[in-house]
Amino acid sequence: MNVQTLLNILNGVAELEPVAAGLVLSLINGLKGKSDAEILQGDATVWAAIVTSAHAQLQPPAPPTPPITQ
Amino acid sequence: MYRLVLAIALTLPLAGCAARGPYHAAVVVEHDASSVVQALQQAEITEFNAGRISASEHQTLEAGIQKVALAGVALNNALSAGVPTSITGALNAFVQTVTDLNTSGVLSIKNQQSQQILTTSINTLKAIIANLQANLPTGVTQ
Repeated sequence: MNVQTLLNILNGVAELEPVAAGLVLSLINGLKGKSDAEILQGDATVWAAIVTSAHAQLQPPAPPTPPITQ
Repeated sequence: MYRLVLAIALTLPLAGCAARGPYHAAVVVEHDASSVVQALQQAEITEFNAGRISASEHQTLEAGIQKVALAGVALNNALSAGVPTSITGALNAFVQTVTDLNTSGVLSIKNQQSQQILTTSINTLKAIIANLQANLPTGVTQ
């Protein structure tokens, strides 16, 4: 598949589903000019962020702070 | 949605990456999967904050997403090491966590709108995985 075919596909998607096209272009831009090692390094950060966020979501809400009495 | 999945499956392996290694197709798929799981998590948190997902459902979903992400870390490490058997094991484990997230979490969501949104992400993940399984590098088996 050549570049023109790729552009035709993206144009077709962009006309029908602008949001989907945006996601695809975003994913492609995330890969442009990067070596496999660089891609994996970046992805390791993404996976770690997801784990950290999930961990934070799984924590019980902090109890309300009791009023300070003198 | 079908068009989105088709576009991802067709276009991403063609993206202009430098220094392609022996597992390049798998690396691209792993990259796509990390983006989709992150988007899925953000969508889940948005739905929870909007009150459409209960606290119980939220806990189940985030626990499932955490397992998927940990499996993603293992897949990332396996691809970095480049050992075919490790990649096979990590890929199988990743597929299992996505299946579990769908069956024990997403399919149990009571709100139809929220379930549809997260099902879209799960289906995209499944398509990405199927794309990888169809283009497995030499030495990596299912």
